Amino acid sequence: FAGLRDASGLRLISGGPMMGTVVHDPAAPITKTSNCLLLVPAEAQPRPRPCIRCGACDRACPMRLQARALHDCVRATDFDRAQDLHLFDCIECGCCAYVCPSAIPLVQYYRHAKGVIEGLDRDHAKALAAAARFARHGSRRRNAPISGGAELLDLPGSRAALRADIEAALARRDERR
Amino acid sequence: MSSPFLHSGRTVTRLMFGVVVALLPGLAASIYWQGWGVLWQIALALAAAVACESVALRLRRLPLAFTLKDGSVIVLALLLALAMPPLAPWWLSLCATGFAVLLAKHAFGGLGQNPFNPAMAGIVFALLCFPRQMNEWPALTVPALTVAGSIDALHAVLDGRPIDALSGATLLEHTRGEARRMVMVSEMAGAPVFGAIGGRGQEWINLAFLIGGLYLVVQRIVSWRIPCGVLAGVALAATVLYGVDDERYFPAPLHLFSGATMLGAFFVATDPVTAATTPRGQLWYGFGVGVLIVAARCWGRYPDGVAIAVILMNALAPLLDRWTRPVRFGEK
Repeated sequence: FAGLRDASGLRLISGGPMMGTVVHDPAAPITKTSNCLLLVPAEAQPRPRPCIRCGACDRACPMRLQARALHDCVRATDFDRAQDLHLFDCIECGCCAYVCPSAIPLVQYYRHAKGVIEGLDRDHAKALAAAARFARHGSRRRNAPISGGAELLDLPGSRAALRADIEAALARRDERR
Repeated sequence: MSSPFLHSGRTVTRLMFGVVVALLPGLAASIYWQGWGVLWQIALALAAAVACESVALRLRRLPLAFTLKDGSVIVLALLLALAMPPLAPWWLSLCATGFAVLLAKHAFGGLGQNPFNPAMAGIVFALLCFPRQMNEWPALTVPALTVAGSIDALHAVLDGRPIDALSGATLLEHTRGEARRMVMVSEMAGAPVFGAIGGRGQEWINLAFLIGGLYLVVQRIVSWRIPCGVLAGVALAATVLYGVDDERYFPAPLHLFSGATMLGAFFVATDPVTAATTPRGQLWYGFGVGVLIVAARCWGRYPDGVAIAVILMNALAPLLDRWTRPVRFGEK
Protein backbone atom coordinates (compact mmCIF):
# COMPACT_ATOMS: atom_id res chain seq x y z
CA PHE A 1 0.00 0.00 0.00
CA ALA A 2 1.61 3.21 -1.24
CA GLY A 3 5.08 1.89 -0.62
CA LEU A 4 4.27 0.95 2.95
CA ARG A 5 6.82 -1.52 4.24
CA ASP A 6 6.41 -1.59 7.99
CA ALA A 7 2.82 -1.35 9.30
CA SER A 8 3.73 -1.68 12.96
CA GLY A 9 2.17 1.05 15.06
CA LEU A 10 -0.12 1.97 12.19
CA ARG A 11 -3.65 0.98 11.32
CA LEU A 12 -5.01 0.60 7.81
CA ILE A 13 -8.72 1.39 7.51
CA SER A 14 -10.84 0.80 4.46
CA GLY A 15 -13.93 2.95 4.09
CA GLY A 16 -13.57 6.08 6.18
CA PRO A 17 -13.07 6.85 9.85
CA MET A 18 -16.68 6.47 10.99
CA MET A 19 -17.88 3.30 9.26
CA GLY A 20 -14.72 1.70 7.85
CA THR A 21 -13.21 -1.62 8.73
CA VAL A 22 -9.67 -2.45 9.72
CA VAL A 23 -7.57 -4.06 6.98
CA HIS A 24 -5.27 -6.47 8.73
CA ASP A 25 -3.02 -7.29 5.75
CA PRO A 26 -1.75 -4.45 3.54
CA ALA A 27 -1.62 -6.95 0.66
CA ALA A 28 -5.43 -7.13 0.64
CA PRO A 29 -6.78 -5.86 -2.69
CA ILE A 30 -9.19 -2.98 -3.08
CA THR A 31 -12.50 -3.61 -4.78
CA LYS A 32 -15.00 -1.59 -6.75
CA THR A 33 -16.72 -0.56 -3.51
CA SER A 34 -13.57 0.64 -1.72
CA ASN A 35 -13.95 4.40 -1.52
CA CYS A 36 -11.16 5.36 0.80
CA LEU A 37 -8.10 3.95 2.50
CA LEU A 38 -6.76 5.53 5.68
CA LEU A 39 -3.46 4.92 7.36
CA VAL A 40 -3.58 6.24 10.90
CA PRO A 41 -1.58 5.71 14.07
CA ALA A 42 -2.99 2.71 15.93
CA GLU A 43 -4.27 4.50 19.00
CA ALA A 44 -6.04 2.45 21.59
CA GLN A 45 -9.72 3.28 21.88
CA PRO A 46 -10.43 5.18 25.10
CA ARG A 47 -11.34 3.00 28.03
CA PRO A 48 -15.13 2.89 28.46
CA ARG A 49 -16.81 4.18 31.60
CA PRO A 50 -20.30 3.28 32.81
CA CYS A 51 -23.18 4.87 30.90
CA ILE A 52 -24.39 8.07 32.59
CA ARG A 53 -27.66 8.13 30.62
CA CYS A 54 -26.88 11.59 29.25
CA GLY A 55 -28.73 10.82 26.01
CA ALA A 56 -26.06 12.28 23.72
CA CYS A 57 -26.30 9.09 21.62
CA ASP A 58 -30.08 9.47 21.25
CA ARG A 59 -29.65 13.04 20.05
CA ALA A 60 -26.87 12.09 17.63
CA CYS A 61 -28.73 9.18 15.98
CA PRO A 62 -29.78 10.09 12.40
CA MET A 63 -32.41 7.33 12.49
CA ARG A 64 -33.71 8.77 15.77
CA LEU A 65 -33.40 5.43 17.51
CA GLN A 66 -33.08 5.15 21.27
CA ALA A 67 -29.43 4.27 21.29
CA ARG A 68 -29.17 4.26 25.06
CA ALA A 69 -32.15 1.95 25.57
CA LEU A 70 -30.78 -0.34 22.84
CA HIS A 71 -27.44 -0.49 24.64
CA ASP A 72 -29.23 -1.45 27.86
CA CYS A 73 -31.17 -4.21 26.06
CA VAL A 74 -28.08 -5.67 24.43
CA ARG A 75 -26.20 -5.67 27.71
CA ALA A 76 -29.12 -7.45 29.33
CA THR A 77 -29.27 -9.85 26.30
CA ASP A 78 -32.92 -8.84 25.89
CA PHE A 79 -32.84 -9.18 22.10
CA ASP A 80 -36.63 -9.21 21.68
CA ARG A 81 -36.88 -5.78 23.23
CA ALA A 82 -33.91 -4.60 21.15
CA GLN A 83 -35.90 -5.53 18.04
CA ASP A 84 -38.95 -3.71 19.41
CA LEU A 85 -36.68 -0.67 19.63
CA HIS A 86 -35.88 -1.14 15.91
CA LEU A 87 -32.32 -2.41 16.27
CA PHE A 88 -32.30 -3.39 12.59
CA ASP A 89 -32.93 0.20 11.51
CA CYS A 90 -29.47 1.06 12.86
CA ILE A 91 -27.19 1.96 9.96
CA GLU A 92 -24.03 1.64 12.08
CA CYS A 93 -22.96 5.19 11.20
CA GLY A 94 -21.04 5.48 14.47
CA CYS A 95 -22.41 8.90 15.50
CA CYS A 96 -23.56 7.55 18.88
CA ALA A 97 -20.17 6.13 19.78
CA TYR A 98 -18.47 9.32 18.53
CA VAL A 99 -20.38 11.55 20.95
CA CYS A 100 -20.57 9.15 23.90
CA PRO A 101 -18.83 10.85 26.85
CA SER A 102 -18.27 7.45 28.44
CA ALA A 103 -16.57 6.23 25.23
CA ILE A 104 -18.79 3.15 25.07
CA PRO A 105 -18.29 1.24 21.76
CA LEU A 106 -22.03 1.34 21.02
CA VAL A 107 -21.78 0.21 17.37
CA GLN A 108 -19.90 -2.87 18.49
CA TYR A 109 -22.81 -3.71 20.82
CA TYR A 110 -25.36 -3.29 18.03
CA ARG A 111 -23.36 -5.36 15.55
CA HIS A 112 -22.98 -8.11 18.11
CA ALA A 113 -26.72 -8.10 18.83
CA LYS A 114 -27.58 -8.17 15.12
CA GLY A 115 -25.29 -11.15 14.63
CA VAL A 116 -26.80 -13.01 17.56
CA ILE A 117 -30.35 -12.30 16.42
CA GLU A 118 -29.58 -13.40 12.84
CA GLY A 119 -28.05 -16.62 14.20
CA LEU A 120 -31.12 -17.24 16.34
CA ASP A 121 -33.39 -16.54 13.34
CA ARG A 122 -31.43 -19.01 11.20
CA ASP A 123 -31.72 -21.67 13.88
CA HIS A 124 -35.43 -20.94 14.16
CA ALA A 125 -35.92 -21.22 10.37
CA LYS A 126 -34.01 -24.52 10.34
CA ALA A 127 -36.14 -25.86 13.16
CA LEU A 128 -39.33 -24.84 11.33
CA ALA A 129 -38.15 -26.55 8.12
CA ALA A 130 -37.29 -29.71 10.03
CA ALA A 131 -40.68 -29.73 11.69
CA ALA A 132 -42.44 -29.38 8.32
CA ARG A 133 -40.30 -32.16 6.84
CA PHE A 134 -41.10 -34.46 9.73
CA ALA A 135 -44.83 -33.72 9.39
CA ARG A 136 -44.73 -34.56 5.65
CA HIS A 137 -42.85 -37.79 6.36
CA GLY A 138 -45.41 -38.85 8.93
CA SER A 139 -48.35 -38.20 6.63
CA ARG A 140 -46.66 -40.21 3.81
CA ARG A 141 -46.26 -43.20 6.10
CA ARG A 142 -49.82 -42.96 7.31
CA ASN A 143 -51.21 -42.79 3.74
CA ALA A 144 -49.17 -45.76 2.40
CA PRO A 145 -51.20 -49.07 1.88
CA ILE A 146 -50.78 -51.54 4.73
CA SER A 147 -49.97 -54.56 2.47
CA GLY A 148 -47.60 -52.45 0.38
CA GLY A 149 -44.46 -53.91 1.95
CA ALA A 150 -44.79 -57.41 0.45
CA GLU A 151 -45.61 -56.18 -3.08
CA LEU A 152 -42.65 -53.87 -3.06
CA LEU A 153 -40.35 -56.84 -2.44
CA ASP A 154 -41.41 -58.57 -5.69
CA LEU A 155 -40.91 -55.58 -7.93
CA PRO A 156 -37.87 -55.59 -10.24
CA GLY A 157 -35.02 -53.82 -8.56
CA SER A 158 -36.20 -54.96 -5.16
CA ARG A 159 -33.82 -56.70 -2.82
CA ALA A 160 -34.90 -60.26 -3.74
CA ALA A 161 -34.64 -59.54 -7.45
CA LEU A 162 -31.21 -58.01 -6.99
CA ARG A 163 -30.07 -61.06 -5.07
CA ALA A 164 -31.37 -63.35 -7.89
CA ASP A 165 -29.46 -61.24 -10.47
CA ILE A 166 -26.28 -61.55 -8.40
CA GLU A 167 -26.72 -65.33 -8.09
CA ALA A 168 -27.22 -65.63 -11.85
CA ALA A 169 -24.11 -63.58 -12.60
CA LEU A 170 -22.04 -65.67 -10.22
CA ALA A 171 -23.34 -68.88 -11.90
CA ARG A 172 -22.38 -67.52 -15.36
CA ARG A 173 -18.88 -66.75 -14.10
CA ASP A 174 -18.49 -70.28 -12.73
CA GLU A 175 -19.60 -71.75 -16.10
CA ARG A 176 -16.97 -69.72 -18.01
CA ARG A 177 -14.20 -71.12 -15.84
CA MET B 1 -11.24 -2.86 16.98
CA SER B 2 -14.42 -1.60 15.44
CA SER B 3 -15.65 1.62 13.85
CA PRO B 4 -15.94 4.52 14.50
CA PHE B 5 -12.25 5.23 14.86
CA LEU B 6 -12.82 8.78 16.05
CA HIS B 7 -14.12 10.24 19.28
CA SER B 8 -15.43 13.72 20.00
CA GLY B 9 -13.19 14.12 23.03
CA ARG B 10 -16.11 15.17 25.23
CA THR B 11 -15.61 12.77 28.08
CA VAL B 12 -17.45 12.35 31.37
CA THR B 13 -14.49 14.01 33.10
CA ARG B 14 -14.80 17.10 30.92
CA LEU B 15 -18.57 17.29 31.40
CA MET B 16 -18.15 17.13 35.17
CA PHE B 17 -15.41 19.77 35.02
CA GLY B 18 -17.83 21.96 33.05
CA VAL B 19 -20.41 21.57 35.81
CA VAL B 20 -17.85 22.59 38.43
CA VAL B 21 -16.94 25.70 36.38
CA ALA B 22 -20.62 26.57 36.01
CA LEU B 23 -21.07 26.32 39.78
CA LEU B 24 -18.40 28.97 40.44
CA PRO B 25 -20.56 32.13 40.10
CA GLY B 26 -23.19 30.67 42.40
CA LEU B 27 -20.47 29.55 44.77
CA ALA B 28 -18.98 33.06 44.86
CA ALA B 29 -22.41 34.60 45.49
CA SER B 30 -23.11 32.06 48.24
CA ILE B 31 -19.84 32.92 49.98
CA TYR B 32 -20.53 36.64 49.62
CA TRP B 33 -24.01 36.41 51.16
CA GLN B 34 -23.62 33.47 53.53
CA GLY B 35 -20.05 33.75 54.69
CA TRP B 36 -17.10 31.40 54.89
CA GLY B 37 -19.24 28.59 56.24
CA VAL B 38 -20.01 27.65 52.62
CA LEU B 39 -16.34 26.99 51.94
CA TRP B 40 -15.93 24.94 55.10
CA GLN B 41 -18.95 22.84 54.14
CA ILE B 42 -17.46 22.25 50.69
CA ALA B 43 -14.10 21.24 52.14
CA LEU B 44 -15.80 18.85 54.56
CA ALA B 45 -18.10 17.33 51.95
CA LEU B 46 -15.31 16.97 49.37
CA ALA B 47 -12.98 15.20 51.78
CA ALA B 48 -15.74 12.93 53.06
CA ALA B 49 -17.08 12.17 49.60
CA VAL B 50 -13.68 11.27 48.13
CA ALA B 51 -12.90 9.12 51.16
CA CYS B 52 -16.25 7.29 50.99
CA GLU B 53 -15.93 6.83 47.24
CA SER B 54 -12.45 5.36 47.65
CA VAL B 55 -13.67 2.92 50.28
CA ALA B 56 -16.64 1.91 48.13
CA LEU B 57 -14.45 1.42 45.05
CA ARG B 58 -11.98 -0.64 47.03
CA LEU B 59 -14.78 -2.83 48.39
CA ARG B 60 -16.24 -3.25 44.90
CA ARG B 61 -12.77 -4.00 43.49
CA LEU B 62 -13.00 -1.26 40.89
CA PRO B 63 -10.00 0.68 39.56
CA LEU B 64 -9.51 3.53 42.03
CA ALA B 65 -7.69 6.27 40.12
CA PHE B 66 -9.55 5.69 36.84
CA THR B 67 -12.99 5.79 38.47
CA LEU B 68 -12.23 8.73 40.78
CA LYS B 69 -11.07 10.69 37.74
CA ASP B 70 -14.61 10.77 36.29
CA GLY B 71 -15.25 13.68 38.69
CA SER B 72 -18.80 12.65 39.53
CA VAL B 73 -18.06 12.47 43.24
CA ILE B 74 -16.67 16.02 43.21
CA VAL B 75 -19.88 17.35 41.64
CA LEU B 76 -21.87 15.33 44.16
CA ALA B 77 -19.95 16.85 47.07
CA LEU B 78 -20.25 20.40 45.70
CA LEU B 79 -24.01 20.14 45.17
CA LEU B 80 -24.51 18.60 48.57
CA ALA B 81 -22.40 21.25 50.31
CA LEU B 82 -24.22 24.07 48.50
CA ALA B 83 -27.57 22.66 49.56
CA MET B 84 -26.49 22.34 53.20
CA PRO B 85 -26.91 25.27 55.59
CA PRO B 86 -23.47 26.93 55.69
CA LEU B 87 -23.21 26.65 59.46
CA ALA B 88 -24.51 23.11 59.81
CA PRO B 89 -22.44 21.10 62.30
CA TRP B 90 -19.62 19.02 60.84
CA TRP B 91 -21.12 15.65 61.78
CA LEU B 92 -24.32 16.45 59.90
CA SER B 93 -22.31 17.18 56.78
CA LEU B 94 -20.40 13.93 57.16
CA CYS B 95 -23.60 11.92 57.72
CA ALA B 96 -25.27 13.39 54.66
CA THR B 97 -22.20 12.86 52.46
CA GLY B 98 -21.66 9.32 53.68
CA PHE B 99 -25.29 8.46 53.07
CA ALA B 100 -25.15 10.05 49.62
CA VAL B 101 -21.98 8.29 48.43
CA LEU B 102 -22.26 4.91 50.14
CA LEU B 103 -26.00 4.23 50.15
CA ALA B 104 -27.56 6.45 47.49
CA LYS B 105 -24.76 5.92 44.96
CA HIS B 106 -22.70 2.80 45.48
CA ALA B 107 -25.29 0.52 47.05
CA PHE B 108 -27.19 0.82 43.76
CA GLY B 109 -24.16 0.15 41.58
CA GLY B 110 -22.26 3.41 41.38
CA LEU B 111 -22.14 6.01 38.64
CA GLY B 112 -24.96 5.57 36.13
CA GLN B 113 -26.97 3.07 38.17
CA ASN B 114 -28.39 5.10 41.04
CA PRO B 115 -32.14 5.71 40.70
CA PHE B 116 -32.10 8.77 42.98
CA ASN B 117 -29.88 11.81 42.85
CA PRO B 118 -27.26 11.00 45.52
CA ALA B 119 -26.67 14.60 46.64
CA MET B 120 -30.40 15.21 47.13
CA ALA B 121 -30.84 11.82 48.80
CA GLY B 122 -28.18 12.92 51.29
CA ILE B 123 -30.00 16.22 51.86
CA VAL B 124 -33.37 14.50 52.32
CA PHE B 125 -31.76 12.04 54.73
CA ALA B 126 -30.34 14.91 56.81
CA LEU B 127 -33.62 16.83 56.57
CA LEU B 128 -35.67 13.89 57.84
CA CYS B 129 -33.27 12.97 60.64
CA PHE B 130 -32.09 16.41 61.78
CA PRO B 131 -34.73 18.96 60.73
CA ARG B 132 -33.69 21.55 63.29
CA GLN B 133 -30.03 21.70 62.27
CA MET B 134 -30.96 21.66 58.59
CA ASN B 135 -33.06 24.79 58.97
CA GLU B 136 -30.57 27.08 60.67
CA TRP B 137 -29.37 29.49 58.04
CA PRO B 138 -27.09 32.46 58.61
CA ALA B 139 -28.52 35.93 59.02
CA LEU B 140 -29.07 38.08 55.98
CA THR B 141 -26.57 40.77 56.80
CA VAL B 142 -23.60 40.53 54.51
CA PRO B 143 -21.01 38.74 56.64
CA ALA B 144 -17.57 40.24 56.83
CA LEU B 145 -15.30 38.15 54.65
CA THR B 146 -12.31 38.43 56.90
CA VAL B 147 -9.90 35.87 58.29
CA ALA B 148 -11.56 36.26 61.68
CA GLY B 149 -14.94 35.65 60.05
CA SER B 150 -13.67 32.45 58.47
CA ILE B 151 -12.41 31.22 61.83
CA ASP B 152 -15.74 32.12 63.45
CA ALA B 153 -17.52 30.12 60.78
CA LEU B 154 -15.16 27.20 61.29
CA HIS B 155 -15.86 27.31 65.02
CA ALA B 156 -19.60 27.34 64.33
CA VAL B 157 -19.26 24.29 62.07
CA LEU B 158 -16.99 22.40 64.45
CA ASP B 159 -18.86 23.22 67.66
CA GLY B 160 -22.18 22.34 66.12
CA ARG B 161 -23.69 25.46 67.68
CA PRO B 162 -24.26 28.34 65.29
CA ILE B 163 -23.33 31.72 66.74
CA ASP B 164 -26.56 33.52 67.53
CA ALA B 165 -25.53 36.71 65.83
CA LEU B 166 -24.96 34.77 62.66
CA SER B 167 -28.14 32.75 62.50
CA GLY B 168 -31.47 34.00 61.28
CA ALA B 169 -34.39 33.10 59.12
CA THR B 170 -34.43 33.01 55.34
CA LEU B 171 -37.36 34.30 53.36
CA LEU B 172 -38.99 30.89 53.01
CA GLU B 173 -38.70 30.13 56.72
CA HIS B 174 -39.71 33.60 57.83
CA THR B 175 -42.84 33.66 55.68
CA ARG B 176 -43.63 30.16 56.78
CA GLY B 177 -43.58 31.17 60.42
CA GLU B 178 -45.60 34.29 59.66
CA ALA B 179 -48.16 32.35 57.68
CA ARG B 180 -48.59 29.99 60.60
CA ARG B 181 -49.43 33.01 62.73
CA MET B 182 -52.02 33.92 60.09
CA VAL B 183 -50.17 37.01 58.90
CA MET B 184 -51.33 37.98 55.41
CA VAL B 185 -48.88 38.19 52.54
CA SER B 186 -49.62 41.88 52.03
CA GLU B 187 -48.75 42.56 55.67
CA MET B 188 -45.47 40.71 55.39
CA ALA B 189 -44.19 43.02 52.67
CA GLY B 190 -41.42 45.26 53.91
CA ALA B 191 -39.96 42.66 56.23
CA PRO B 192 -36.17 42.67 56.00
CA VAL B 193 -36.11 39.21 54.45
CA PHE B 194 -37.49 40.53 51.16
CA GLY B 195 -35.16 41.71 48.45
CA ALA B 196 -35.90 43.36 45.14
CA ILE B 197 -37.50 40.27 43.62
CA GLY B 198 -36.95 37.29 45.88
CA GLY B 199 -35.47 36.61 49.28
CA ARG B 200 -32.84 39.15 50.28
CA GLY B 201 -29.41 37.87 49.29
CA GLN B 202 -30.91 34.68 47.94
CA GLU B 203 -32.07 36.48 44.83
CA TRP B 204 -28.45 37.25 43.96
CA ILE B 205 -27.33 33.71 44.71
CA ASN B 206 -30.11 32.42 42.49
CA LEU B 207 -29.14 34.87 39.76
CA ALA B 208 -25.54 33.66 39.92
CA PHE B 209 -26.67 30.04 39.65
CA LEU B 210 -28.88 31.06 36.73
CA ILE B 211 -25.84 32.50 34.94
CA GLY B 212 -23.84 29.34 35.57
CA GLY B 213 -26.80 27.26 34.46
CA LEU B 214 -27.10 29.18 31.20
CA TYR B 215 -23.42 28.41 30.59
CA LEU B 216 -24.23 24.69 31.04
CA VAL B 217 -27.09 24.94 28.55
CA VAL B 218 -25.05 26.90 25.99
CA GLN B 219 -22.21 24.39 26.30
CA ARG B 220 -24.80 21.62 25.88
CA ILE B 221 -23.59 19.95 29.03
CA VAL B 222 -27.21 19.71 30.15
CA SER B 223 -30.32 19.66 28.01
CA TRP B 224 -32.29 22.93 27.98
CA ARG B 225 -35.55 21.04 28.41
CA ILE B 226 -35.22 20.12 32.07
CA PRO B 227 -34.40 23.60 33.47
CA CYS B 228 -37.06 25.15 31.23
CA GLY B 229 -39.56 22.59 32.51
CA VAL B 230 -38.62 23.30 36.12
CA LEU B 231 -38.87 27.07 35.77
CA ALA B 232 -42.16 26.77 33.87
CA GLY B 233 -43.51 24.41 36.52
CA VAL B 234 -42.54 26.74 39.36
CA ALA B 235 -43.89 29.81 37.57
CA LEU B 236 -47.17 28.18 36.56
CA ALA B 237 -47.90 26.54 39.90
CA ALA B 238 -47.00 29.71 41.82
CA THR B 239 -49.09 31.91 39.51
CA VAL B 240 -52.12 29.64 39.78
CA LEU B 241 -51.87 29.56 43.59
CA TYR B 242 -51.30 33.31 43.75
CA GLY B 243 -54.32 33.81 41.51
CA VAL B 244 -56.45 31.62 43.78
CA ASP B 245 -55.46 33.33 47.02
CA ASP B 246 -52.97 36.20 46.96
CA GLU B 247 -53.07 36.55 50.73
CA ARG B 248 -51.70 33.07 51.40
CA TYR B 249 -49.43 32.37 48.46
CA PHE B 250 -46.54 34.25 46.87
CA PRO B 251 -46.18 35.37 43.26
CA ALA B 252 -43.97 33.48 40.84
CA PRO B 253 -40.82 35.71 40.84
CA LEU B 254 -40.50 35.27 44.56
CA HIS B 255 -40.54 31.49 44.20
CA LEU B 256 -38.13 31.60 41.27
CA PHE B 257 -35.58 33.72 43.11
CA SER B 258 -35.58 32.27 46.58
CA GLY B 259 -34.42 29.07 48.19
CA ALA B 260 -32.58 26.68 45.92
CA THR B 261 -34.78 27.09 42.83
CA MET B 262 -32.04 27.91 40.30
CA LEU B 263 -29.53 25.49 41.81
CA GLY B 264 -32.19 22.80 41.58
CA ALA B 265 -33.38 23.68 38.09
CA PHE B 266 -29.98 23.85 36.39
CA PHE B 267 -27.68 21.64 38.46
CA VAL B 268 -29.71 19.10 40.41
CA ALA B 269 -32.71 18.20 38.25
CA THR B 270 -30.43 17.96 35.20
CA ASP B 271 -28.36 15.13 36.63
CA PRO B 272 -28.53 12.83 33.59
CA VAL B 273 -28.36 9.60 35.55
CA THR B 274 -31.57 10.19 37.49
CA ALA B 275 -33.56 12.39 35.09
CA ALA B 276 -35.79 11.39 32.19
CA THR B 277 -33.88 11.00 28.92
CA THR B 278 -36.42 11.37 26.12
CA PRO B 279 -37.04 14.95 24.88
CA ARG B 280 -40.70 15.10 25.87
CA GLY B 281 -39.98 13.10 29.00
CA GLN B 282 -37.44 15.72 30.06
CA LEU B 283 -39.95 18.53 29.68
CA TRP B 284 -42.52 16.69 31.75
CA TYR B 285 -39.90 15.66 34.29
CA GLY B 286 -38.78 19.26 34.73
CA PHE B 287 -42.34 20.49 34.92
CA GLY B 288 -43.12 17.94 37.61
CA VAL B 289 -40.08 19.02 39.63
CA GLY B 290 -41.17 22.66 39.37
CA VAL B 291 -44.75 22.00 40.47
CA LEU B 292 -43.57 19.80 43.33
CA ILE B 293 -41.11 22.48 44.51
CA VAL B 294 -43.98 24.95 44.89
CA ALA B 295 -46.24 22.31 46.42
CA ALA B 296 -43.58 21.31 48.95
CA ARG B 297 -42.97 24.96 49.86
CA CYS B 298 -46.65 25.80 50.27
CA TRP B 299 -47.97 22.68 51.93
CA GLY B 300 -44.90 20.71 52.98
CA ARG B 301 -43.36 20.38 56.41
CA TYR B 302 -40.05 21.97 55.40
CA PRO B 303 -39.37 25.50 54.17
CA ASP B 304 -37.74 24.41 50.91
CA GLY B 305 -38.67 21.42 48.81
CA VAL B 306 -36.19 21.18 45.94
CA ALA B 307 -34.55 18.02 47.26
CA ILE B 308 -37.87 16.32 47.94
CA ALA B 309 -39.30 17.36 44.57
CA VAL B 310 -36.26 16.01 42.72
CA ILE B 311 -36.29 12.71 44.60
CA LEU B 312 -40.00 12.21 43.88
CA MET B 313 -39.59 12.91 40.18
CA ASN B 314 -36.52 10.63 40.03
CA ALA B 315 -38.87 7.82 40.94
CA LEU B 316 -41.15 8.77 38.04
CA ALA B 317 -38.40 9.22 35.43
CA PRO B 318 -38.35 5.63 34.08
CA LEU B 319 -42.12 5.72 33.62
CA LEU B 320 -41.90 9.07 31.79
CA ASP B 321 -39.23 7.60 29.50
CA ARG B 322 -41.55 4.72 28.68
CA TRP B 323 -44.54 6.94 28.00
CA THR B 324 -42.69 9.41 25.82
CA ARG B 325 -40.74 7.09 23.55
CA PRO B 326 -39.74 9.12 20.48
CA VAL B 327 -40.64 7.96 16.97
CA ARG B 328 -37.82 6.81 14.73
CA PHE B 329 -36.90 8.45 11.45
CA GLY B 330 -39.53 7.86 8.76
CA GLU B 331 -42.16 6.55 11.17
CA LYS B 332 -45.56 8.18 11.34
